[in-house]
Amino acid sequence: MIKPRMVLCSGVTVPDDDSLQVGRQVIELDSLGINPNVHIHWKMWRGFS
Amino acid sequence: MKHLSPRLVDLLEIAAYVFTADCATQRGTEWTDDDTSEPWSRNFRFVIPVRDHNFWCASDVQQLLVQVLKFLSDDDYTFEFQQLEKDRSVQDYLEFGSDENWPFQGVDRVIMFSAGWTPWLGLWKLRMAARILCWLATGQ
Repeated sequence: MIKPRMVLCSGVTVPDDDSLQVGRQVIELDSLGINPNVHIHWKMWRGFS
Repeated sequence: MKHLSPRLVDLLEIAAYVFTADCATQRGTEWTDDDTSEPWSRNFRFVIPVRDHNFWCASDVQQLLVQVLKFLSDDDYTFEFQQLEKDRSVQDYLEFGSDENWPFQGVDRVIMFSAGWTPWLGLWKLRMAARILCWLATGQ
């Protein structure tokens, strides 16, 4: 099994020695900050009218 | 229908984060236990700030969320939700106008739509049931 992941979202941080983070590879995802790496963009269109 | 509620905005963001983490994390390739077990499942722990903190921290809500994701992916998920301190500058998600000339007036159904062939089956089934559909499309 690959290494468990800790996914930190929207700029949250946890202490490096946080017991829940130990042994996990950290992924930082952010859709809110000034440099987002998750872009939520909604496009709408009408279908089957 | 106007803007989405804070709870639904939370749900959309949670879905986007889970989708992104899923795409960014490949599954294991080496067989384990003397080549008898496929290292298919992954283990994710998410820490996500949300607007409706009380709702998302309810044990039954978290249990259902984890169950659905486990069923869909065969992965293990745990979530820690924190109170969102500073919200984004508001993007008016899914604003449907009341004006009859507004293109999204009177939408009957809103459905998810992603790449692949399965969404087309759903659209095919729904095509006769709903007069006007709105698709939420995802892309990579």
